[in-house]
Amino acid sequence: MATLREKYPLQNSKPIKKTISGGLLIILCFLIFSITLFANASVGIIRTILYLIPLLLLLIIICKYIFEVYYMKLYFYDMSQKNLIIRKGVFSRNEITLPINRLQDVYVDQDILDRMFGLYDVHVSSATIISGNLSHIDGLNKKDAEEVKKLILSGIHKENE
Amino acid sequence: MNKNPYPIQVSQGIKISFLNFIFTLIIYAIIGSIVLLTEPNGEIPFLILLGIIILINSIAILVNYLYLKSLGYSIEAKTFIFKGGIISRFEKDLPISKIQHVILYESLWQRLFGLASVSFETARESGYAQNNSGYSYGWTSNSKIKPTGPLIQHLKRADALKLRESILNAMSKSKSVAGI
Repeated sequence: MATLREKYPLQNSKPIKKTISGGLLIILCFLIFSITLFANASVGIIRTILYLIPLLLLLIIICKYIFEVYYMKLYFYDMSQKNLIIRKGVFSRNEITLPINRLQDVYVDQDILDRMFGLYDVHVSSATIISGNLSHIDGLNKKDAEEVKKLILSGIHKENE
Repeated sequence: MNKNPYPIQVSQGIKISFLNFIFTLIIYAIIGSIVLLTEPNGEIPFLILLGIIILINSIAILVNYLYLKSLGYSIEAKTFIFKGGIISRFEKDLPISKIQHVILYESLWQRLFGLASVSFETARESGYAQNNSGYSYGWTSNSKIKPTGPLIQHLKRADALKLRESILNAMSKSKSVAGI
């Protein structure tokens, strides 16, 4: 039987979106850092190092993209009759198992970059904050996000009968 | 009470703490070397800071060892009991019907040693969660995950999976109360 991940896969544009959202912050930090250091640098070796910063930036962004591709590859989610399982992480891995009868809500949202790439995030949570942080499936298309939401809701309603 | 039905791998846990310490030293050595290139008179502050880092990490490893040795847990018919503590001691009794979810954690170091940690929470833990920085609909916090419920650390991975299954089986036998 196909898992939820196989039936409703994440979109290929997700790693690009994550690279841009993470990369923007890295670029900003490095620009501020290098401008500040460059303005105060009096030693030749520091100036030499600073010329290498654009190369370093590029390397970081490439590494970030490769990381996001692996992150998406290892991202797993499935739903049985009783439990919803979500597993994430490349180096350190977290797997949360939520019994369907403990789920409190389901919602779908998009941040600004999601809207640019046509991605949707499905969030579920039990009555704890940490579940809200861990239990989301992000990077679905609109149709799949709606289907996953309906599936989880129908599971919740069945448990309540 | 069957204390620690799946044993906590204390020695492996300490090895992980030690590896973290070595990693910190390496990072400090790299940064310190770069700084010393530009500040040749910075050797004494470098060594003083190095001493402080070694002292703090040594104490942290000792505290971690004592804490892991003190931990005990058991699964009773309707309750999960979790206790421990070095100087001040705690004992949490959690009704299994109130458990909300089960999380399996594997840090990078744990994965290298074939270990995992299991954590779960009741709704009560939410009030004291330290990882929340303004969670609301439409915005999710990316702050570091920090479990506030019982965290059974450094089990063998197979044991962690068995413990998770035991808790989930016990949860499936109990109904949620008042929708929670």
